Amino acid sequence: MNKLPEAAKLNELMYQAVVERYWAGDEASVQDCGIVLVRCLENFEDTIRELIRGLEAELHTTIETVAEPGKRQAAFLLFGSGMGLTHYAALHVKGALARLGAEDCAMMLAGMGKQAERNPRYFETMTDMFEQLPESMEIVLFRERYQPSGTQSVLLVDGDEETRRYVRLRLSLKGYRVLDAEDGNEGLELFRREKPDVIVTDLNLTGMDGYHMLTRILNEDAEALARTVVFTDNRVEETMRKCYELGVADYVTKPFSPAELEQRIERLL
Amino acid sequence: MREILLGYGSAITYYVVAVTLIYFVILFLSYRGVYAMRKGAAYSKFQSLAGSESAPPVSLLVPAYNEELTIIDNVKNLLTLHYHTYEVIVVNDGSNDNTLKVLIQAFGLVPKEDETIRYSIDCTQVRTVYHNPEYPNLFVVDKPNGGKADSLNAGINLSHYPLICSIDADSLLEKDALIRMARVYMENPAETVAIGGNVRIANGCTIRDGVVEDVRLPRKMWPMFQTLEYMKAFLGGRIGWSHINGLIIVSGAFGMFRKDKVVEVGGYRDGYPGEDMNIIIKLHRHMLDQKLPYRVAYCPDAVCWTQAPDTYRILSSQRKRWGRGNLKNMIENRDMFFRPKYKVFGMLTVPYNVLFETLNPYFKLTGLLALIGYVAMDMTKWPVLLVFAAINFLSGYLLAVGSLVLEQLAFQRYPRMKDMAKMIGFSALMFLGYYQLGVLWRFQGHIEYLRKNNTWGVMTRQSWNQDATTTTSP
Repeated sequence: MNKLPEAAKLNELMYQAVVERYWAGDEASVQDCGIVLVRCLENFEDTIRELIRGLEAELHTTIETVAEPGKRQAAFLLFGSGMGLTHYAALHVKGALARLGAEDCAMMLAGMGKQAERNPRYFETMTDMFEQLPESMEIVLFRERYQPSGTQSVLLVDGDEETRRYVRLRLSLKGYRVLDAEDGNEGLELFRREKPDVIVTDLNLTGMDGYHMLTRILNEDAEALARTVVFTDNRVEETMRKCYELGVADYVTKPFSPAELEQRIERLL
Repeated sequence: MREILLGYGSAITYYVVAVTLIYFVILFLSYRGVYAMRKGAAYSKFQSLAGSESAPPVSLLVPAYNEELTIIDNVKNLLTLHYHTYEVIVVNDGSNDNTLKVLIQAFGLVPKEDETIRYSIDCTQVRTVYHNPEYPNLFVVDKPNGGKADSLNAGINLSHYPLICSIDADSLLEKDALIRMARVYMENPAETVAIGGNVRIANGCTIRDGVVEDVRLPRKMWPMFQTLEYMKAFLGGRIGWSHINGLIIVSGAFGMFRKDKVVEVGGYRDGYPGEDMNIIIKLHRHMLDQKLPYRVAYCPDAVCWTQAPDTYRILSSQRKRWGRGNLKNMIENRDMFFRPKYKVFGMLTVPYNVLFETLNPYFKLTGLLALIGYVAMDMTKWPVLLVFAAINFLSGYLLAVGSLVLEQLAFQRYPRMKDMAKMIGFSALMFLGYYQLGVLWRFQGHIEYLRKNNTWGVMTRQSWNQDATTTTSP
């Protein structure tokens, strides 16, 4: 047993561990991660310690473990393991529990899910489900369901279809949910309905001028402009001043560098 | 008697031949102009100009008199143009409907106290300037009724930018119209004093949110004739005239001007229709008097969509007004007629306008009388007359089709084959009555002028969404 951090919820600990692993290191370290969750009502600490020892011997690697002793549950994070290996590990855990003669146990097997490293809700749902599991010696597979409000959403308002398609593609590859609008009215409507996390908007729009759309958004949600990037071909100093005065967070001019735009959106989240 | 008639007949024949030749030359120049424009467009990308500070800021002036039905759509349209810095100044010319009220309501306007107006041109004292910081580019000026020219002058006095652009309140601009015009201006900023835009007829097109979405030909007869007429005048005529710097008119519906020059010539002339032609004549005169190099350019790809009158009554009233304005301008500027001092403008444009536009009805009507005389005195045979008529028709038709081809070559606004066939058909129909009516209207306009009838006439407005129709007569 390495260490068991205390007084935190299991899902938070898992997310923290995953984020540390994914964001601290370089890009290359982004990899699969299998998760095995175990609950053991009797003799929790000793059983977990025994399971870790067994797993490490079996897989020849150290295993990151987080635990919530209050609820007597722990999770093994198998970084670098695909679903196949994780399943094998889960079977091993099952066998070990049977050998230890532990009763009143529950097990769940999970993968990382799409873009889970950005999404604490994923782990929350996982532990919620795990807590509702009845005690039995069956391994339950956790399936990620589509959660519309889970990922970060970006509202993209731009009149040019090509630009919209390109930026949408780039951002959705980054894991954002992209809502795109062609004109000011549609943009405002989407803003009201979906409450996006970030707004990226052109100033030159049909139907409603972009600057005016921003003033309307400001009236409805004073915080929204702090998460807004103006994305336009208007390079006039005066316009930039007006937009910053209104409170927008950033101003990117076209022709643009996609990497720069992505980075500036990233920074707002 | 016979000799006189014969002499007159030959004179008229020469006249007709001259008109036709001049039209062909102008059409030829238009083709050259369009060719140059097409080649130029490939190398100068106007799109990147839209966001760059090197294009000068523009003030759009929108005189509005009893426009409550269309004004909101139009202002919304004007507020979303693709241009980096511009302002929209709506001048409410003492409307007696709710024009001002609907504007205040729709845009949440409040009186702007700190606005000072420099009266560099004479105009009626402005009552209030309205503004809303949420629409930083919109200003609404309220002033007592003083006519269209007076409203434009008030707008010029308030405007903050070096270029001004007059726009009719019943017209919609295409999103990139301003930037295309600015491109033409940037080609020669030192010499360009005015730029005309291309006016097209929006009847029949689908308009949503103040944007022309689906371009169709008008369904009604009168707007259809006007569509072809405008196409011929703007593409077949004005491109050619601008090519030799002899443009005499920049349409009041959409034209851009250097403000300093307009102020130098004292702004728009008040109290008479034809103020759009008048300002151009004054600019020509001013620049030529000062012996300064200048040009009045035309930008056929900057498009303004306007509502054409769709009934006989309103159309005839509009044309009589034009006839009146044209006559007034020609009489006022008769000293430019064949004056070498005024170069192309004095030697070509003005004589052309006097002889072939202003006096056209008299030649046409007397020519017709002469024809009747011929027949009555048995001086000619039917076949000869028929041959004359056929030649006249064919040359005219060739001109009409020539400008249609120009349209299809350069702009392709009407891509459907059906529309093309309809346009070719209507071009022929125009010879059976519409041209003759045009002559009659101009003649009636001259009579009105002599009677000193100086009203604007009736004009109706139709809301852009086709259902609502209301009539206002100022």
